[in-house]
Amino acid sequence: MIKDRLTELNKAGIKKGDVIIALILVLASFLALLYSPGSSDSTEKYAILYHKGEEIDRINLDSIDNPYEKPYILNGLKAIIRYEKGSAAFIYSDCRDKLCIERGQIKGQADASVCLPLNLVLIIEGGEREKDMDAVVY
Amino acid sequence: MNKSTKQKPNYPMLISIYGILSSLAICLSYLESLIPQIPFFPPGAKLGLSNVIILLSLTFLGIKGSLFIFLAKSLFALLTRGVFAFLIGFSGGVGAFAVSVILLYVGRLYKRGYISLAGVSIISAAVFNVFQLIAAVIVTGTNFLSAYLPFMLFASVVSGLITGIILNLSAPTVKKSAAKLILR
Repeated sequence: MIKDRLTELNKAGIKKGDVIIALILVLASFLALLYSPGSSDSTEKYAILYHKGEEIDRINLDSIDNPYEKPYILNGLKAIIRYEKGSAAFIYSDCRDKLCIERGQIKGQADASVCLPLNLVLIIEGGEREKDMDAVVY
Repeated sequence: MNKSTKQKPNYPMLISIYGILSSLAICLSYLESLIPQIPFFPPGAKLGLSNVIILLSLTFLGIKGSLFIFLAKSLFALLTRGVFAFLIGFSGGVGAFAVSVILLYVGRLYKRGYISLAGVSIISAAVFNVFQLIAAVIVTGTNFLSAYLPFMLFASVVSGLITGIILNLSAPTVKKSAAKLILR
């Protein structure tokens, strides 16, 4: 079985060294996952908004009964974040590519959405860690 | 080799190839931005198809020619995606370009055949993502983003392997044909 797979890879010009490099990086990604920061013991879920690395807003997502939208105007550029029970999402931004909006709702611990042009980072802290794979949005 | 018999580059053809490859890199970069998010990939993470062109050009155009294509692609990103996205992408690109040059021209792993272009592609994808994350941490001023390193590293293995296989299959033919066109 493994031999068949290696023969297939050989046809694509893959060498043993390539496989070793891939395995090392996969291992490194698992090790990095074990030591990744951002876990919080808090049982309450918060959406924390950072601008240029400084916390500018902190919303308790567990206490929201009615969803609402909150605008932020920073350096003449506008962003709107929608807060719901247990989740938050960029719904408007003056940035060009709108990747922060495409990112959609974030809801699990260590989940984040980033709007680089506006230098905004929205992070979820507390609650349970999401099992889905998430990462930075450029 | 005797000076008189040394083959000279066909400059008009060389310029055309620079233009075609730059356009291809830009088009692939744009087309990739239209592809919806790949399942199990971190949001914003891409296959890096335009890097195929840059790595491919490194195999037959040399460092200067490839640098031209890389800069042309970066300029396109600056014009279409804004300064911040450009800075993040450019920092990743510089790191990936530098490590590709080292692996292809200086190091022994590729030269001695221990790794193929797929290995180079995987390593450059990983470096690209790590440099991007470092730049994002600096720009946003929050080290929290480093939490995404494991996912970006894993994505770089998948994307590097796919682009690497494309490179392994296409590079020999392209290299051969390009050599015929460039040298007279």
